[in-house]
Amino acid sequence: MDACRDYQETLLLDVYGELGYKERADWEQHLASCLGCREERQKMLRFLGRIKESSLPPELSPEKASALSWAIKRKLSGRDADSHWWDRLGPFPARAMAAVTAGCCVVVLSGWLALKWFQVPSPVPGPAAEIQLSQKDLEVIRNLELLEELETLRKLVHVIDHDDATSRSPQI
Amino acid sequence: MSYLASDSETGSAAEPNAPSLDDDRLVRLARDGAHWAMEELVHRYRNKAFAVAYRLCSGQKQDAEDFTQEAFLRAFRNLRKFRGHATFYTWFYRILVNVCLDGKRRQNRWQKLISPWLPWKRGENREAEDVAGHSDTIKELSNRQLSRDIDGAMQALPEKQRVAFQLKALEGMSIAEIAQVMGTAEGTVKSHLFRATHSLRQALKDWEG
Repeated sequence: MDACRDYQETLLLDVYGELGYKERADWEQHLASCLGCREERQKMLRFLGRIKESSLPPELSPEKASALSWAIKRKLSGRDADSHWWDRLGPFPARAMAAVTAGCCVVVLSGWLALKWFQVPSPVPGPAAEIQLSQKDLEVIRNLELLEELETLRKLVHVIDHDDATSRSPQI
Repeated sequence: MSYLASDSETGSAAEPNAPSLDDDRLVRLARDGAHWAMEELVHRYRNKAFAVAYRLCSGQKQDAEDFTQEAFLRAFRNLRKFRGHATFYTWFYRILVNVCLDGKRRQNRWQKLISPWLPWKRGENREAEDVAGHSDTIKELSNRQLSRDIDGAMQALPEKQRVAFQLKALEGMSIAEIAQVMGTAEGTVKSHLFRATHSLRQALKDWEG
């Protein structure tokens, strides 16, 4: 006799020990009246029992168990020995060192940026001074003719003075 | 280092009160670097872990030992990532299952690559081992045949169905725990489990009765 289709999931949950309290009460009520489900349940339990029996793993011998523990220990210790010096300091000193290093980097970088941005400008003549300078040059150029005339007059005066001096000197 | 100076030969933990501590406390201590706590965790779970690995490795003893060791190492190296949302046991089993499945996949790839040049196959070693270890009574032969058939039927299952079935039917884990180990929903685990059960019953119907 086959099990009821509606109860197949419940049957599996039952044999796997996963049935809830309320579901179990309903299921047991059904089982009491259904021969097919009762037989199927027995078959399933026998089937799972045989599989479990046939799949028993070998015992881990005490020697093997010790060897396993020892190998794990050795590898973990080896890892400790191979680790970086900052790892051996533990998590907190290593983190503190990383934080201090990062802080130093930030201070240096911000100092450099501050120097760059807030530096006092050097006394380089600006465009206004340049305009002022060119105006002075223009004035000199404009009065160049007058200056040349003044120079000519100075030379003329010098020549006349020289002639007067020679005419006033006694004749030998 | 005190860890190395502990009583390694007997396999017992160095700390006398270690067996009385629960897993959570041991994990916290191990995370803080107490190697005796790690040793106690290994002592507590090595046999169960080996059994799981042995079944997931289809009865390859050496592979099971190697994978068990690898899983413990991986767990201790990543202990800081363990947040305590699950129990240490399920967290560690998840690592173990992943190590075994990855290892098996790697081996399968490698075997596919080199098997044409190998004169023997790995499965034959186990058979020879079995024959040497048992007397040839009818019952023993029948059990061995059943064992081989179960092995074959298990190997024919899709990977997730096989893992779900093994963890439930053979290791006795709850569906909620299997869901945590496999990283899936409980409904998915149920589905894998039911399909696996159905397929196995179909494959082994000659043995029912």
